Amino acid sequence: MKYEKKSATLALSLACISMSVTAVEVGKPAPLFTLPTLQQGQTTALATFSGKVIYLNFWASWCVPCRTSFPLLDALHKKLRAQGFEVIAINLDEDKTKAEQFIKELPVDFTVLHDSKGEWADQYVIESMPTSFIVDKHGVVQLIHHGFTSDDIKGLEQKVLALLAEK
Amino acid sequence: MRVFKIPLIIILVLSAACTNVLPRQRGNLALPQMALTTDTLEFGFRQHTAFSKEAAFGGYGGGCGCNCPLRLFLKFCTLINLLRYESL
Repeated sequence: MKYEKKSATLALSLACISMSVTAVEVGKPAPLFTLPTLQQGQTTALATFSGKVIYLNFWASWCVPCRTSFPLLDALHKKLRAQGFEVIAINLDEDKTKAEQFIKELPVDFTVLHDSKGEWADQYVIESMPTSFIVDKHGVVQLIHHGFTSDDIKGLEQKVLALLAEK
Repeated sequence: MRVFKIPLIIILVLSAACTNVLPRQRGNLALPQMALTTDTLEFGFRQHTAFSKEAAFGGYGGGCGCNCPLRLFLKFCTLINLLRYESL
């Protein structure tokens, strides 16, 4: 009886732990965040981008693949912006000045936000740097992209174009 | 039983300092001074020589580790790298 009680308690505590970390998955709605922009500090909400295909990118200044990704993402954004494509890059640097320096070196046209406490990164469950989510026009995650190499951009463009063609 | 309890308590207390570092918290770990080796190319070159000269066996690539073209090439790359870092 004692053993049963113990195992029940253990199972319950394990269930609580697993419930507290529910990762964002493909086919699930993207959590609706509101965060300040990196440079001006204006609050920006994901909800304002509804009806657009979004490439949601979690990055940091010290992350080498992020440095590769920025010029390529900026070019893709410029190319497909008119069709309803948006790139939102959420910075996770603890020291904001390093992120600002990064943006000075690699200026981009897309939205750059700052998640100082990393609370939204934890909500989305970031397993690698960078981790990106392609969100469709209905706010549903369609692809989770871990890391970034320069060859990835072709596949991403195809995925974005396919989602842009959907109603 | 008490013999086991004391070390267990010590381990539990000490392990309280252990923590998971999330990918977003790896900024300091990504600094060049935190790397296990200062120069990966130099490290690869030295390891290659060490493995060849000390008659080691196992899953390591071929080559003599002496003045073969590969070594000379790596040496050249290391030199270029050193010059680049110094010029920064």
